[in-house]
Amino acid sequence: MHVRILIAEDEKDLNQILTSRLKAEHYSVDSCKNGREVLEYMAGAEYDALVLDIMMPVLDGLSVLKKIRQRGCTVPVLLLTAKDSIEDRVAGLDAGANDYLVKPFAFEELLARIRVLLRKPAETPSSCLQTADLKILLDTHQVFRGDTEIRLSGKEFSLLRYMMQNEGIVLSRDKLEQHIWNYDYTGGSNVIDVYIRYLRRKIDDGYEPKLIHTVRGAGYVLKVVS
Amino acid sequence: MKRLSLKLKVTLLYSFFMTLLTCAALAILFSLSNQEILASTQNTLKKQVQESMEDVEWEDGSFDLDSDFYDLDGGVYLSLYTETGELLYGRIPYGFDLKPDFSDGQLQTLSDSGRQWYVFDLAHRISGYGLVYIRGISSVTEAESSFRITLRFAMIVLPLLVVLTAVIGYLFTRRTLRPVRRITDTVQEIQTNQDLSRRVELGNGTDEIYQLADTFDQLLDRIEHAFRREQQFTSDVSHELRTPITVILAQCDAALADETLNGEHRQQIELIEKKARNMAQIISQLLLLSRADQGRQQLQMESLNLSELTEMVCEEQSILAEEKQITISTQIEPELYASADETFYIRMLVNLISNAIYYGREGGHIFVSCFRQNGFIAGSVEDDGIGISKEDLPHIWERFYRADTSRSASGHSGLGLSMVKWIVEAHGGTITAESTLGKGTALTFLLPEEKN
Repeated sequence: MHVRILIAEDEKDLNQILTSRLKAEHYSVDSCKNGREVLEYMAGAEYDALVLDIMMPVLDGLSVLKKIRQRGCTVPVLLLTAKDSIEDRVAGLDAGANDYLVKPFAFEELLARIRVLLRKPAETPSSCLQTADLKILLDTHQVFRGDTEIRLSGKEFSLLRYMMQNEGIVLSRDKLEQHIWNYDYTGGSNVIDVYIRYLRRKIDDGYEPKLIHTVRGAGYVLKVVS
Repeated sequence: MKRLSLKLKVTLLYSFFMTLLTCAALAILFSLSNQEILASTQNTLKKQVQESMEDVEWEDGSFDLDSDFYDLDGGVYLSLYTETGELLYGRIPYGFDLKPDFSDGQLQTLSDSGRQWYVFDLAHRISGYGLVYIRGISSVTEAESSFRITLRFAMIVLPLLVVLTAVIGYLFTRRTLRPVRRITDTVQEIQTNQDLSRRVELGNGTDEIYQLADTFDQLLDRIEHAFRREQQFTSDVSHELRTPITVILAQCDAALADETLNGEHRQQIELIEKKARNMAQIISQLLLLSRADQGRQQLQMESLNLSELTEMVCEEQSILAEEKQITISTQIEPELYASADETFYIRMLVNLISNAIYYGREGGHIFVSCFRQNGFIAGSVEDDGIGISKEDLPHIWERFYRADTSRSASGHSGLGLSMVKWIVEAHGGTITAESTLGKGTALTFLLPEEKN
């Protein structure tokens, strides 16, 4: 199956590298440099996903997005932006974006977001995740280890959910940080390590088997070690 | 005197001079003794009698008296008598029943039923008629009492005048100075609320104070403008830098994905990637601080167990501290709860401890404590490192401020303590620093404890 992606980014170098790397991932990619071109490309072809930079000349990303949605087009849209404040995020999501990625981002994260966008509605995740005897309820934000309920803060919950969704996959600090602090990313230091340490204390201390593991030099992984 | 308000000072000045004036007036009044008043009464009497001689004329067999004769000028009653003492014309004061003998040119003092009179007679020869007496009578009691009334009046009116001047002076000064109060209030409000959009706005007026207020407003306009421009600049620059950094990181990423890359090139690219990440971090921090300046940074407040969280941060930072053989010891009271943003709290503590490690000595110590204190949670991070000099201490919260100006340090952006200060204050707390050069530094923060 051929997946077509349209990228709109006015920064030439970024446009180029995103295009070439997405092509390397076997996506079929078209790229353009401003909002008007997006509309022209959209008129000529069907796309499975759109990656839109917000700040572009001629017609900016938000305006393009609004126009597309007005025409009743439901193509999934990922916004790229250098702005990361709450208002910017709200404006983007209000305009009909499906997701939002703040610069600078790791290419891995962009790929992950695109994969989520391309996922068909039928594949929406269930409301409950379970690994060994650790269970989290996505609707109520409840966490159980065995029969014991564990209290987690908002960020701890998102972190655990993300790790459980990627069970068995090693997640780098960068990836974890980008996922948890996408919108108001404060960057750097070892805040994420403190979170993981606290999460371990809460869900692994005194329980067997241990679920969160450190992979030296690579990151963290949640899995049952057999 | 310096502590009094201008209002009070001006009023006191008014009152002081008014009192001085009153005292002088009263002193003059009192120094006029009774004697002088009486002497003056006698003189008036003599003068009136002498002058009245011209008013009396004999014409065609009858007296012709000028109307002045009946005027009671200076309280003197004049009357005309024949040589034998019969009253011809004139007025006798009511209650004067005495009939003293005439004595030409002599002043007589007479008493009658508790009242005192001066009587002065002059003999006057009128051609065509003969000798007549003109008698002047003046009431001593009346003169004295009118003086006493004047005195009493002065005693009441003058102090009243002082009080009135003081009150009017106070009200007037207050009214005049009200705009000054408004200027002060505005400036204070700007200081407490950090709201530079406030203005004095006195309205239309031309006096000096209105001009002052106007100048203030203009100055505030310029400050606000400059301030906004600076904030906007920081925000713009940071945003502009993000796109190129994304390109650098993406290129590094792509280059590192190439498996044929040799070891040396790989290292070089990894270094570029690391530095680009550092830059990205500084930009994120700058953006955070600029959002904080504009009051747009939001906190996700949650009820957190600060005891556990503090312990976690210390354990995590111990790993970094070990690289410098620094040991971190803790004394943390259990079950301390506060409403806080978890990420920012961790961030703050990480910054404090990594600072302590960075400025610590090899093999040194860091002591972290956390305990309950009068409705607050008091936390402190103490080190026995190089310390901060007295001159540098007040500046440590400033952005990019460094005691050593070399800026050779890697991984230390110089924004860490600015962020710490903002985080503590955004949580409604305070932070203080104590330090001795060469001995070490202690940073202590107070955060409001959560009430159950």
